[in-house]
Amino acid sequence: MSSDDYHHTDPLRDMLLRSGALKRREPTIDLVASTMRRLPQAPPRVVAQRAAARRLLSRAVAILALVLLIVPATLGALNLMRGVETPMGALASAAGQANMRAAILAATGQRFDDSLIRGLVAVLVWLMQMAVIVLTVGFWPRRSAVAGMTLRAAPLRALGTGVLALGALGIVSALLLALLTATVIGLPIAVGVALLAHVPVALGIAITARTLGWHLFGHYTPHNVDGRLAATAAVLALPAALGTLVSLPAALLTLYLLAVPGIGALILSQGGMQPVVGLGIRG
Amino acid sequence: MVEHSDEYVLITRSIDGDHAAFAQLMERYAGAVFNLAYRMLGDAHEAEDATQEIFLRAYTNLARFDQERKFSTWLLSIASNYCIDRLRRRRLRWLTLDDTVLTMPSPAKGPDRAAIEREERDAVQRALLRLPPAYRQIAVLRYWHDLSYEEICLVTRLPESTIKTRLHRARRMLADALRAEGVMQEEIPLQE
Repeated sequence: MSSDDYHHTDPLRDMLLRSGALKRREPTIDLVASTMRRLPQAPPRVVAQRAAARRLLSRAVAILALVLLIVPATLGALNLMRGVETPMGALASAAGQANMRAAILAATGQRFDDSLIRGLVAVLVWLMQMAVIVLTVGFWPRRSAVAGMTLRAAPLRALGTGVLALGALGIVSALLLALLTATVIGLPIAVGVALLAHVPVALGIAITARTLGWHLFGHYTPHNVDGRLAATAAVLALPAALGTLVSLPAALLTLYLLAVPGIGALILSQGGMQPVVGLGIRG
Repeated sequence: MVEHSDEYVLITRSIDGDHAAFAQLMERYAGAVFNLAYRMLGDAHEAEDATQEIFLRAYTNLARFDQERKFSTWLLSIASNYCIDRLRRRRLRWLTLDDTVLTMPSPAKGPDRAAIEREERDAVQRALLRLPPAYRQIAVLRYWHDLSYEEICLVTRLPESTIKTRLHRARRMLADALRAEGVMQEEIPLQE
């Protein structure tokens, strides 16, 4: 590695040399052996081809997902503008709107009148929430910890951001669902969109649980899923589970309320990448 | 490539999937790549992880390596871009009380010369980490890797005028940071 002739004319370099800061630092592990263990078996050309194929595939999947979303939504918008009868409309008129509403209410009412079913649904909702919390923290320990730190440091900002974000998500999802359900091909996609729209809610609940855990136990564990987190998850999952005993909307509303601060913290910390650190947030 | 004919052989063998040849290439450059990563990222463990990732990237892209270029320049180019990407992605720091205490300059210097030197080295590293990544990259390549403007241009793919401007600003920022650390008292003339 050559250099320009600056060694005798640069006082900063002289100072760096004097301080010994330019000395090479040695790694603590055998980098060559560690890297060799991770090296792919195939030759570089094959590895590069595989990587290119993976990139191509992920781009194709992304484009396909966009097409699957845009085409039915556009068709749905055209149907609505032209006043064409939509599948939901057709269903409603076939059953008679009043009858359909009564039928839905009767069906859900009957199901939820059964105390055994209600209890089972409540337990299922409780377990699902716990699983989501533990899995989220397990898969993204650092990111969830950073978002949790943010929530503790700026709870009001997180709450405000969460309310706005969830509101925006609700509006966009509602619009998209209205367009998608205006065509037959959009109906299955609408189901997928409705499920995807709940991913931030699940993540938000996990962040809220993590923060609540720190608050309750005063214990800061950046990387571990431990018994204390599981206990917190069990406590936090209770309100929505109990909500199912009242009605499904009540359970959903409880879920959204619990997720709001976590969603806000996730946004403020840029997906758990940059913590908003305040005073008093340390071990 | 004529001066580095054995390197040329190692690269060709590595492209054919010879791991032993690639291991020899790594032996030669692991130190340089690790030091670049350490100066850029500021953490030895992270630098070790980054070094492994950089060599994995180098291996994956080896078939595309233009053998008219210097291997070291190409490798440092991958390393430097990777560190910038990592800094961009990371942008988080575990600010615990311990970390803060560890990174705070100590008010009292010990009588031992080695201790003073170590303190100065740490202060320089802290000062370096205060530089924005784009400026830190140029300063590290210039001072720690002793690269010429031309080589820095090859590594960063930036025009020479940009390199000169960034280096000038990096020197000024580094000098300011070193004065703030108490390592340097005198003014440094900024023209090079």
